[in-house]
Amino acid sequence: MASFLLFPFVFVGLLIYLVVWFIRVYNRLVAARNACANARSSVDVNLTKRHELIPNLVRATKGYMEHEKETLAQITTARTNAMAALGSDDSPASEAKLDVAIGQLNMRIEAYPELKADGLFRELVKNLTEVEEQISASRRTYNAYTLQINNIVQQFPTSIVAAGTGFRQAAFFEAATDSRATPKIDLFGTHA
Amino acid sequence: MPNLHPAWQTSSNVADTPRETLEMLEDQRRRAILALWRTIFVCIACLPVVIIPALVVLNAQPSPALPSWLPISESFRTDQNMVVTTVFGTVFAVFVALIWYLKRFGLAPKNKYLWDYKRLVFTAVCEAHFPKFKYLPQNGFSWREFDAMHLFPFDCDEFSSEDRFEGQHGATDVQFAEARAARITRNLRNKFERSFETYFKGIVFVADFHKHFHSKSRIVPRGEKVRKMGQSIAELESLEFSNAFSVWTTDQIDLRYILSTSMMERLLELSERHPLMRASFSDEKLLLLLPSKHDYFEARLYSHAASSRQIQTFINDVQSWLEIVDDLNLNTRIWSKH
Repeated sequence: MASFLLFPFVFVGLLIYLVVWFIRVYNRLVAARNACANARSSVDVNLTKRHELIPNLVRATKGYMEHEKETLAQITTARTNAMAALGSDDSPASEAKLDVAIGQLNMRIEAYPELKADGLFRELVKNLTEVEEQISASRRTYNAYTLQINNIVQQFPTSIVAAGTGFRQAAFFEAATDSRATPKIDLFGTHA
Repeated sequence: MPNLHPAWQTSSNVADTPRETLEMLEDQRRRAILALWRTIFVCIACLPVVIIPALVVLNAQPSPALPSWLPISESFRTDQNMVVTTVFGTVFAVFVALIWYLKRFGLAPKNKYLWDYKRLVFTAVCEAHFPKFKYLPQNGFSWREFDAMHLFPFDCDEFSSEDRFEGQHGATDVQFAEARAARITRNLRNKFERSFETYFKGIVFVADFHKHFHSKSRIVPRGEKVRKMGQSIAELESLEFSNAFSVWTTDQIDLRYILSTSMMERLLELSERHPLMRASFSDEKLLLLLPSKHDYFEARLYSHAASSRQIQTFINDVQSWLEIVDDLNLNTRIWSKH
Protein backbone atom coordinates (compact mmCIF):
# COMPACT_ATOMS: atom_id res chain seq x y z
CA MET A 1 0.00 0.00 0.00
CA ALA A 2 2.75 2.41 1.05
CA SER A 3 4.88 1.65 -2.04
CA PHE A 4 1.82 2.11 -4.25
CA LEU A 5 1.35 5.60 -2.79
CA LEU A 6 5.00 6.39 -3.29
CA PHE A 7 4.96 5.61 -7.02
CA PRO A 8 3.40 8.92 -8.25
CA PHE A 9 5.97 10.89 -6.23
CA VAL A 10 8.86 8.92 -7.70
CA PHE A 11 7.41 9.31 -11.17
CA VAL A 12 6.93 13.08 -10.80
CA GLY A 13 10.42 13.44 -9.27
CA LEU A 14 11.95 11.52 -12.16
CA LEU A 15 10.01 13.61 -14.65
CA ILE A 16 11.20 16.87 -13.03
CA TYR A 17 14.78 15.56 -13.06
CA LEU A 18 14.52 14.70 -16.77
CA VAL A 19 13.04 18.09 -17.64
CA VAL A 20 15.79 19.91 -15.73
CA TRP A 21 18.45 17.73 -17.39
CA PHE A 22 16.92 18.35 -20.83
CA ILE A 23 16.90 22.13 -20.25
CA ARG A 24 20.52 22.06 -19.07
CA VAL A 25 21.76 20.11 -22.10
CA TYR A 26 19.73 22.30 -24.44
CA ASN A 27 21.11 25.47 -22.82
CA ARG A 28 24.64 24.13 -23.15
CA LEU A 29 24.06 23.54 -26.84
CA VAL A 30 22.60 27.02 -27.34
CA ALA A 31 25.46 28.62 -25.39
CA ALA A 32 28.04 26.73 -27.44
CA ARG A 33 26.32 27.66 -30.70
CA ASN A 34 26.20 31.34 -29.71
CA ALA A 35 29.85 31.23 -28.68
CA CYS A 36 30.65 29.69 -32.07
CA ALA A 37 28.79 32.49 -33.82
CA ASN A 38 30.62 35.03 -31.68
CA ALA A 39 33.99 33.49 -32.51
CA ARG A 40 33.06 33.35 -36.19
CA SER A 41 32.11 37.01 -36.18
CA SER A 42 35.36 37.81 -34.35
CA VAL A 43 37.25 36.02 -37.17
CA ASP A 44 35.45 38.20 -39.72
CA VAL A 45 36.11 41.38 -37.74
CA ASN A 46 39.80 40.58 -37.57
CA LEU A 47 39.93 39.59 -41.23
CA THR A 48 38.45 43.01 -42.04
CA LYS A 49 41.11 44.61 -39.86
CA ARG A 50 43.72 42.69 -41.80
CA HIS A 51 42.25 43.80 -45.12
CA GLU A 52 42.35 47.40 -43.93
CA LEU A 53 46.01 47.11 -42.98
CA ILE A 54 47.14 45.75 -46.34
CA PRO A 55 46.79 48.98 -48.43
CA ASN A 56 48.94 50.77 -45.84
CA LEU A 57 51.47 47.95 -46.02
CA VAL A 58 51.57 48.16 -49.82
CA ARG A 59 51.92 51.95 -49.64
CA ALA A 60 54.76 51.70 -47.12
CA THR A 61 56.67 49.17 -49.21
CA LYS A 62 56.09 50.80 -52.60
CA GLY A 63 58.77 53.44 -52.10
CA TYR A 64 61.43 50.83 -51.37
CA MET A 65 60.32 48.05 -53.71
CA GLU A 66 60.16 49.73 -57.09
CA HIS A 67 61.03 46.47 -58.84
CA GLU A 68 58.40 44.38 -57.06
CA LYS A 69 55.34 45.94 -58.61
CA GLU A 70 54.02 42.54 -59.64
CA THR A 71 54.17 41.18 -56.08
CA LEU A 72 52.42 44.24 -54.73
CA ALA A 73 49.75 44.02 -57.42
CA GLN A 74 49.17 40.36 -56.48
CA ILE A 75 48.61 41.37 -52.86
CA THR A 76 46.17 44.10 -53.87
CA THR A 77 44.19 41.69 -56.06
CA ALA A 78 44.19 38.98 -53.41
CA ARG A 79 42.99 41.49 -50.84
CA THR A 80 40.15 42.68 -53.11
CA ASN A 81 39.04 39.08 -53.66
CA ALA A 82 39.28 38.29 -49.95
CA MET A 83 37.16 41.32 -49.08
CA ALA A 84 34.54 40.30 -51.61
CA ALA A 85 34.45 36.73 -50.29
CA LEU A 86 34.29 37.72 -46.61
CA GLY A 87 31.51 35.85 -44.82
CA SER A 88 30.94 33.44 -47.71
CA ASP A 89 32.12 29.86 -48.17
CA ASP A 90 34.89 31.09 -50.49
CA SER A 91 36.41 33.18 -47.70
CA PRO A 92 38.97 30.60 -46.45
CA ALA A 93 40.28 30.00 -49.99
CA SER A 94 40.53 33.74 -50.70
CA GLU A 95 42.28 34.34 -47.38
CA ALA A 96 44.70 31.54 -48.17
CA LYS A 97 45.57 33.24 -51.46
CA LEU A 98 46.13 36.49 -49.58
CA ASP A 99 48.40 34.59 -47.16
CA VAL A 100 50.42 33.27 -50.05
CA ALA A 101 50.73 36.77 -51.58
CA ILE A 102 51.90 38.21 -48.23
CA GLY A 103 54.31 35.29 -47.91
CA GLN A 104 55.84 36.16 -51.28
CA LEU A 105 56.20 39.76 -50.17
CA ASN A 106 57.99 38.53 -47.07
CA MET A 107 60.52 36.61 -49.18
CA ARG A 108 61.18 39.72 -51.30
CA ILE A 109 61.56 41.93 -48.23
CA GLU A 110 64.73 40.06 -47.26
CA ALA A 111 66.47 41.91 -50.11
CA TYR A 112 65.47 45.35 -48.76
CA PRO A 113 67.12 45.94 -45.39
CA GLU A 114 66.20 49.66 -45.44
CA LEU A 115 62.55 48.70 -45.66
CA LYS A 116 62.90 46.31 -42.71
CA ALA A 117 64.33 49.19 -40.70
CA ASP A 118 61.55 51.61 -41.64
CA GLY A 119 59.57 52.62 -38.55
CA LEU A 120 56.17 52.82 -40.24
CA PHE A 121 56.66 49.47 -41.94
CA ARG A 122 57.69 47.82 -38.67
CA GLU A 123 54.63 49.23 -36.97
CA LEU A 124 52.38 47.90 -39.72
CA VAL A 125 53.94 44.47 -39.53
CA LYS A 126 53.41 44.44 -35.76
CA ASN A 127 49.76 45.29 -36.27
CA LEU A 128 49.47 42.60 -38.92
CA THR A 129 51.07 40.03 -36.61
CA GLU A 130 48.66 41.00 -33.87
CA VAL A 131 45.63 40.73 -36.12
CA GLU A 132 46.79 37.35 -37.43
CA GLU A 133 47.15 36.03 -33.89
CA GLN A 134 43.70 37.35 -33.04
CA ILE A 135 42.30 35.54 -36.07
CA SER A 136 44.03 32.40 -34.92
CA ALA A 137 42.64 32.84 -31.37
CA SER A 138 39.11 33.30 -32.74
CA ARG A 139 39.49 30.19 -34.91
CA ARG A 140 40.72 28.17 -31.95
CA THR A 141 37.76 29.38 -29.87
CA TYR A 142 35.35 28.51 -32.69
CA ASN A 143 36.82 25.03 -32.90
CA ALA A 144 36.71 24.55 -29.12
CA TYR A 145 32.97 25.27 -29.08
CA THR A 146 32.41 23.22 -32.22
CA LEU A 147 34.04 20.29 -30.44
CA GLN A 148 31.72 20.88 -27.48
CA ILE A 149 28.63 20.87 -29.75
CA ASN A 150 29.82 17.77 -31.60
CA ASN A 151 30.46 15.92 -28.34
CA ILE A 152 26.95 16.65 -27.12
CA VAL A 153 25.44 15.75 -30.49
CA GLN A 154 27.30 12.43 -30.72
CA GLN A 155 27.40 11.25 -27.10
CA PHE A 156 24.57 9.31 -25.51
CA PRO A 157 22.19 10.33 -23.90
CA THR A 158 22.75 14.00 -24.79
CA SER A 159 22.40 13.05 -28.47
CA ILE A 160 18.64 12.56 -27.78
CA VAL A 161 18.29 16.22 -26.77
CA ALA A 162 20.36 17.36 -29.76
CA ALA A 163 18.32 15.28 -32.18
CA GLY A 164 15.05 16.48 -30.65
CA THR A 165 16.00 20.13 -30.89
CA GLY A 166 17.49 20.03 -34.36
CA PHE A 167 21.16 20.41 -33.42
CA ARG A 168 23.58 18.78 -35.84
CA GLN A 169 27.31 18.26 -36.00
CA ALA A 170 29.16 21.45 -36.84
CA ALA A 171 32.16 21.74 -39.14
CA PHE A 172 35.50 22.79 -37.74
CA PHE A 173 37.01 26.02 -38.96
CA GLU A 174 40.01 25.05 -41.02
CA ALA A 175 42.22 27.35 -43.00
CA ALA A 176 42.28 26.38 -46.68
CA THR A 177 46.05 26.10 -46.55
CA ASP A 178 48.26 25.06 -43.73
CA SER A 179 49.09 28.37 -42.10
CA ARG A 180 52.32 26.92 -40.79
CA ALA A 181 53.45 26.41 -44.35
CA THR A 182 52.61 29.98 -45.28
CA PRO A 183 55.57 32.26 -44.74
CA LYS A 184 54.68 35.16 -42.45
CA ILE A 185 56.42 38.52 -42.32
CA ASP A 186 58.99 37.97 -39.61
CA LEU A 187 60.98 41.13 -39.09
CA PHE A 188 62.21 40.18 -35.69
CA GLY A 189 63.48 36.70 -36.32
CA THR A 190 61.17 35.15 -33.78
CA HIS A 191 57.71 33.72 -33.32
CA ALA A 192 55.75 33.89 -30.10
CA MET B 1 91.12 47.08 12.32
CA PRO B 2 89.48 43.68 12.85
CA ASN B 3 91.03 40.55 11.42
CA LEU B 4 89.32 40.43 8.04
CA HIS B 5 88.25 37.66 5.77
CA PRO B 6 90.29 37.01 2.58
CA ALA B 7 87.10 37.88 0.65
CA TRP B 8 87.82 41.59 1.29
CA GLN B 9 90.46 41.59 -1.39
CA THR B 10 89.29 38.92 -3.79
CA SER B 11 85.61 39.39 -4.41
CA SER B 12 84.40 41.79 -7.05
CA ASN B 13 80.88 41.56 -5.62
CA VAL B 14 82.09 42.86 -2.30
CA ALA B 15 83.52 45.88 -4.09
CA ASP B 16 79.94 47.05 -4.74
CA THR B 17 79.69 48.04 -1.09
CA PRO B 18 82.04 50.58 0.56
CA ARG B 19 84.67 48.84 2.63
CA GLU B 20 83.87 50.97 5.70
CA THR B 21 80.29 49.73 5.57
CA LEU B 22 81.40 46.12 5.44
CA GLU B 23 83.82 46.66 8.30
CA MET B 24 81.09 48.26 10.35
CA LEU B 25 78.73 45.36 9.52
CA GLU B 26 81.35 42.75 10.34
CA ASP B 27 81.87 44.42 13.71
CA GLN B 28 78.10 44.47 14.22
CA ARG B 29 77.86 40.80 13.23
CA ARG B 30 80.46 39.76 15.79
CA ARG B 31 78.73 41.73 18.48
CA ALA B 32 75.40 40.17 17.49
CA ILE B 33 76.83 36.64 17.74
CA LEU B 34 78.39 37.46 21.09
CA ALA B 35 75.13 38.94 22.39
CA LEU B 36 73.16 35.93 21.19
CA TRP B 37 75.40 33.38 22.85
CA ARG B 38 75.69 35.47 26.01
CA THR B 39 71.93 35.61 26.41
CA ILE B 40 71.56 31.92 25.66
CA PHE B 41 74.21 31.16 28.31
CA VAL B 42 72.48 33.43 30.87
CA CYS B 43 69.14 31.78 30.18
CA ILE B 44 70.59 28.28 30.58
CA ALA B 45 72.37 29.33 33.77
CA CYS B 46 69.20 30.84 35.23
CA LEU B 47 67.11 27.74 34.75
CA PRO B 48 68.69 25.60 37.53
CA VAL B 49 68.66 28.64 39.83
CA VAL B 50 64.85 28.64 39.56
CA ILE B 51 64.08 24.98 39.04
CA ILE B 52 66.21 23.52 41.87
CA PRO B 53 64.66 25.69 44.66
CA ALA B 54 61.22 24.96 43.18
CA LEU B 55 61.87 21.22 43.41
CA VAL B 56 63.23 21.59 46.94
CA VAL B 57 60.10 23.46 48.03
CA LEU B 58 57.74 21.00 46.36
CA ASN B 59 59.58 18.00 47.83
CA ALA B 60 59.95 19.44 51.35
CA GLN B 61 59.18 16.96 54.19
CA PRO B 62 56.77 16.24 55.70
CA SER B 63 54.83 18.38 53.20
CA PRO B 64 55.64 21.13 50.66
CA ALA B 65 56.28 24.47 52.29
CA LEU B 66 57.79 27.78 51.36
CA PRO B 67 61.14 28.68 53.02
CA SER B 68 60.85 29.89 56.60
CA TRP B 69 62.91 33.05 55.93
CA LEU B 70 60.20 34.46 53.66
CA PRO B 71 58.27 37.33 55.37
CA ILE B 72 54.87 35.63 55.05
CA SER B 73 52.35 34.25 57.49
CA GLU B 74 52.72 30.66 58.73
CA SER B 75 49.33 29.62 57.34
CA PHE B 76 50.26 30.90 53.84
CA ARG B 77 53.70 29.26 54.04
CA THR B 78 52.25 25.79 54.66
CA ASP B 79 49.00 26.02 52.67
CA GLN B 80 49.39 23.36 49.95
CA ASN B 81 47.49 25.24 47.28
CA MET B 82 49.32 28.48 47.97
CA VAL B 83 52.70 26.74 47.89
CA VAL B 84 52.05 25.06 44.52
CA THR B 85 50.58 28.25 43.02
CA THR B 86 53.47 30.37 44.24
CA VAL B 87 56.12 27.94 42.96
CA PHE B 88 54.59 27.53 39.52
CA GLY B 89 53.83 31.26 39.33
CA THR B 90 57.44 32.11 40.09
CA VAL B 91 58.79 29.58 37.57
CA PHE B 92 56.42 30.90 34.91
CA ALA B 93 57.36 34.53 35.63
CA VAL B 94 61.05 33.68 35.37
CA PHE B 95 60.46 31.86 32.05
CA VAL B 96 58.62 34.88 30.64
CA ALA B 97 61.41 37.18 31.83
CA LEU B 98 64.05 34.93 30.22
CA ILE B 99 62.21 34.83 26.91
CA TRP B 100 61.93 38.63 26.95
CA TYR B 101 65.63 38.88 27.81
CA LEU B 102 66.56 36.48 24.98
CA LYS B 103 64.51 38.43 22.47
CA ARG B 104 65.58 41.86 23.61
CA PHE B 105 69.30 41.24 24.09
CA GLY B 106 69.97 38.11 22.00
CA LEU B 107 67.73 38.10 18.95
CA ALA B 108 67.23 41.86 18.46
CA PRO B 109 70.94 42.55 17.65
CA LYS B 110 70.92 39.56 15.26
CA ASN B 111 67.80 40.79 13.47
CA LYS B 112 69.18 44.30 13.31
CA TYR B 113 72.39 43.04 11.74
CA LEU B 114 70.50 40.98 9.13
CA TRP B 115 68.25 43.94 8.34
CA ASP B 116 71.20 46.37 8.10
CA TYR B 117 72.99 43.93 5.82
CA LYS B 118 70.06 43.83 3.42
CA ARG B 119 69.63 47.59 3.58
CA LEU B 120 73.27 48.44 3.04
CA VAL B 121 74.89 45.56 1.15
CA PHE B 122 72.15 43.88 -0.88
CA THR B 123 70.76 47.24 -1.98
CA ALA B 124 74.20 48.33 -3.22
CA VAL B 125 74.81 44.96 -4.90
CA CYS B 126 71.43 45.15 -6.65
CA GLU B 127 72.20 48.67 -7.84
CA ALA B 128 75.56 47.58 -9.23
CA HIS B 129 74.46 44.31 -10.88
CA PHE B 130 70.91 45.16 -11.89
CA PRO B 131 71.06 48.89 -12.59
CA LYS B 132 67.50 48.99 -13.90
CA PHE B 133 66.20 47.48 -10.68
CA LYS B 134 65.40 48.86 -7.28
CA TYR B 135 65.59 46.61 -4.25
CA LEU B 136 63.24 47.61 -1.44
CA PRO B 137 63.78 45.14 1.40
CA GLN B 138 61.09 46.66 3.62
CA ASN B 139 58.44 46.75 0.87
CA GLY B 140 56.46 43.89 -0.54
CA PHE B 141 53.44 42.96 -2.54
CA SER B 142 50.08 44.38 -1.56
CA TRP B 143 47.61 42.23 0.35
CA ARG B 144 44.69 43.78 -1.56
CA GLU B 145 46.24 42.86 -4.93
CA PHE B 146 47.01 39.35 -3.70
CA ASP B 147 43.38 38.75 -2.75
CA ALA B 148 42.15 40.45 -5.92
CA MET B 149 43.77 37.74 -8.04
CA HIS B 150 41.36 35.12 -6.62
CA LEU B 151 43.82 32.34 -7.24
CA PHE B 152 42.66 30.56 -4.09
CA PRO B 153 39.10 29.69 -3.06
CA PHE B 154 39.34 31.84 0.09
CA ASP B 155 40.54 35.26 1.17
CA CYS B 156 43.70 35.75 3.12
CA ASP B 157 43.53 36.32 6.90
CA GLU B 158 47.18 37.08 7.44
CA PHE B 159 49.56 38.36 4.80
CA SER B 160 53.18 39.42 4.91
CA SER B 161 55.49 40.38 2.11
CA GLU B 162 59.02 41.78 1.88
CA ASP B 163 62.06 42.03 -0.38
CA ARG B 164 60.44 43.77 -3.28
CA PHE B 165 62.32 44.24 -6.55
CA GLU B 166 61.00 46.53 -9.24
CA GLY B 167 62.45 47.64 -12.52
CA GLN B 168 62.85 46.76 -16.12
CA HIS B 169 64.29 43.61 -17.63
CA GLY B 170 64.78 44.25 -21.33
CA ALA B 171 61.55 45.79 -22.55
CA THR B 172 59.47 44.35 -19.72
CA ASP B 173 58.47 46.02 -16.46
CA VAL B 174 58.91 43.51 -13.67
CA GLN B 175 58.16 43.41 -9.96
CA PHE B 176 58.63 40.53 -7.60
CA ALA B 177 58.62 40.01 -3.88
CA GLU B 178 58.57 37.33 -1.25
CA ALA B 179 55.15 36.73 0.25
CA ARG B 180 53.38 34.52 2.73
CA ALA B 181 49.62 34.16 3.01
CA ALA B 182 47.76 32.36 5.78
CA ARG B 183 44.15 31.76 6.67
CA ILE B 184 42.38 30.96 9.87
CA THR B 185 41.12 27.41 10.09
CA ARG B 186 38.67 26.28 12.75
CA ASN B 187 38.67 22.94 14.46
CA LEU B 188 35.55 21.02 13.42
CA ARG B 189 35.12 19.55 16.91
CA ASN B 190 35.78 22.76 18.78
CA LYS B 191 34.71 25.82 16.83
CA PHE B 192 36.50 28.14 19.23
CA GLU B 193 39.85 26.51 18.50
CA ARG B 194 41.50 28.38 15.65
CA SER B 195 44.85 28.06 13.96
CA PHE B 196 46.67 29.74 11.11
CA GLU B 197 47.36 27.68 8.01
CA THR B 198 49.95 29.02 5.58
CA TYR B 199 48.57 28.28 2.13
CA PHE B 200 51.11 30.20 0.11
CA LYS B 201 54.76 30.94 0.69
CA GLY B 202 57.05 31.93 -2.12
CA ILE B 203 57.52 34.55 -4.77
CA VAL B 204 54.89 36.81 -6.28
CA PHE B 205 56.10 37.76 -9.75
CA VAL B 206 54.41 40.46 -11.80
CA ALA B 207 55.44 41.29 -15.36
CA ASP B 208 54.02 43.51 -18.01
CA PHE B 209 52.57 41.21 -20.67
CA HIS B 210 53.77 41.77 -24.23
CA LYS B 211 50.32 41.75 -25.84
CA HIS B 212 47.32 44.00 -25.36
CA PHE B 213 44.40 42.21 -23.78
CA HIS B 214 41.24 43.22 -21.94
CA SER B 215 40.07 40.02 -20.27
CA LYS B 216 40.80 38.53 -16.86
CA SER B 217 42.03 34.96 -16.76
CA ARG B 218 43.32 32.60 -14.11
CA ILE B 219 45.43 29.48 -14.34
CA VAL B 220 45.39 27.13 -11.35
CA PRO B 221 46.69 23.58 -10.90
CA ARG B 222 44.19 21.02 -12.17
CA GLY B 223 41.81 19.88 -9.48
CA GLU B 224 42.32 22.91 -7.23
CA LYS B 225 39.19 24.78 -6.25
CA VAL B 226 38.66 28.43 -7.16
CA ARG B 227 35.75 30.83 -6.95
CA LYS B 228 34.02 31.35 -10.29
CA MET B 229 34.07 35.17 -10.18
CA GLY B 230 31.89 35.36 -13.28
CA GLN B 231 34.46 33.46 -15.32
CA SER B 232 33.97 30.34 -17.39
CA ILE B 233 36.33 27.40 -17.64
CA ALA B 234 38.28 27.09 -20.88
CA GLU B 235 39.05 23.83 -22.62
CA LEU B 236 42.31 24.35 -24.45
CA GLU B 237 43.73 22.27 -27.29
CA SER B 238 46.90 21.27 -25.49
CA LEU B 239 46.09 18.07 -23.60
CA GLU B 240 49.26 18.31 -21.57
CA PHE B 241 48.38 21.85 -20.49
CA SER B 242 44.78 20.91 -19.72
CA ASN B 243 45.97 17.98 -17.62
CA ALA B 244 48.22 20.27 -15.62
CA PHE B 245 45.97 23.32 -15.22
CA SER B 246 42.41 24.54 -15.02
CA VAL B 247 41.95 27.81 -16.87
CA TRP B 248 39.21 30.32 -16.07
CA THR B 249 38.50 33.41 -18.12
CA THR B 250 36.07 36.22 -18.81
CA ASP B 251 36.74 36.04 -22.57
CA GLN B 252 37.52 32.79 -24.36
CA ILE B 253 38.87 34.46 -27.52
CA ASP B 254 41.10 36.88 -25.63
CA LEU B 255 42.39 33.99 -23.51
CA ARG B 256 43.46 32.10 -26.61
CA TYR B 257 45.15 35.23 -27.88
CA ILE B 258 47.14 35.36 -24.62
CA LEU B 259 47.72 31.63 -24.40
CA SER B 260 49.20 30.84 -27.77
CA THR B 261 50.47 27.29 -28.20
CA SER B 262 54.02 28.37 -27.47
CA MET B 263 52.97 30.31 -24.36
CA MET B 264 51.23 27.20 -23.03
CA GLU B 265 54.41 25.20 -23.60
CA ARG B 266 56.50 27.82 -21.81
CA LEU B 267 54.15 27.95 -18.85
CA LEU B 268 54.25 24.16 -18.65
CA GLU B 269 58.05 24.20 -18.62
CA LEU B 270 58.00 26.85 -15.90
CA SER B 271 55.57 24.79 -13.84
CA GLU B 272 57.96 21.84 -13.98
CA ARG B 273 60.49 23.99 -12.13
CA HIS B 274 57.85 25.52 -9.85
CA PRO B 275 55.22 22.89 -9.09
CA LEU B 276 51.79 24.18 -8.03
CA MET B 277 52.45 27.46 -9.81
CA ARG B 278 49.41 29.69 -10.36
CA ALA B 279 49.02 32.53 -12.82
CA SER B 280 46.67 35.38 -13.43
CA PHE B 281 46.33 37.64 -16.45
CA SER B 282 44.66 40.97 -15.87
CA ASP B 283 45.23 44.65 -16.66
CA GLU B 284 47.72 43.63 -19.36
CA LYS B 285 49.92 42.06 -16.70
CA LEU B 286 51.00 38.53 -15.99
CA LEU B 287 51.05 37.61 -12.34
CA LEU B 288 52.68 34.42 -11.13
CA LEU B 289 52.56 32.79 -7.73
CA LEU B 290 55.60 30.56 -7.43
CA PRO B 291 55.57 28.51 -4.22
CA SER B 292 58.87 27.94 -2.48
CA LYS B 293 59.85 26.91 1.02
CA HIS B 294 63.20 28.66 0.70
CA ASP B 295 63.71 32.05 2.31
CA TYR B 296 65.29 34.18 -0.41
CA PHE B 297 67.34 37.37 -0.16
CA GLU B 298 68.45 36.81 3.44
CA ALA B 299 71.91 37.36 4.90
CA ARG B 300 73.44 34.76 7.20
CA LEU B 301 74.65 35.56 10.69
CA TYR B 302 77.42 32.99 10.54
CA SER B 303 78.80 34.17 7.23
CA HIS B 304 81.44 36.86 7.21
CA ALA B 305 80.01 40.26 6.26
CA ALA B 306 82.41 40.35 3.33
CA SER B 307 81.64 36.79 2.23
CA SER B 308 81.31 36.83 -1.52
CA ARG B 309 79.36 33.58 -1.33
CA GLN B 310 76.26 35.04 0.25
CA ILE B 311 76.42 38.04 -2.09
CA GLN B 312 76.75 35.70 -5.05
CA THR B 313 73.77 33.70 -3.78
CA PHE B 314 71.78 36.92 -3.67
CA ILE B 315 72.80 37.81 -7.25
CA ASN B 316 72.00 34.30 -8.47
CA ASP B 317 68.59 34.37 -6.82
CA VAL B 318 67.66 37.70 -8.40
CA GLN B 319 68.99 36.51 -11.75
CA SER B 320 67.03 33.27 -11.61
CA TRP B 321 63.75 35.12 -11.00
CA LEU B 322 64.46 37.56 -13.81
CA GLU B 323 65.07 34.65 -16.17
CA ILE B 324 61.33 33.99 -16.05
CA VAL B 325 60.93 36.98 -18.39
CA ASP B 326 63.18 35.26 -20.94
CA ASP B 327 61.66 31.84 -20.30
CA LEU B 328 58.22 33.19 -21.14
CA ASN B 329 59.59 35.25 -24.02
CA LEU B 330 58.05 38.42 -22.59
CA ASN B 331 60.73 40.63 -24.13
CA THR B 332 59.61 39.76 -27.63
CA ARG B 333 57.80 42.81 -28.94
CA ILE B 334 56.44 41.80 -32.29
CA TRP B 335 52.96 43.00 -31.42
CA SER B 336 51.71 46.57 -31.33
CA LYS B 337 52.44 46.89 -27.60
CA HIS B 338 55.71 48.72 -26.97
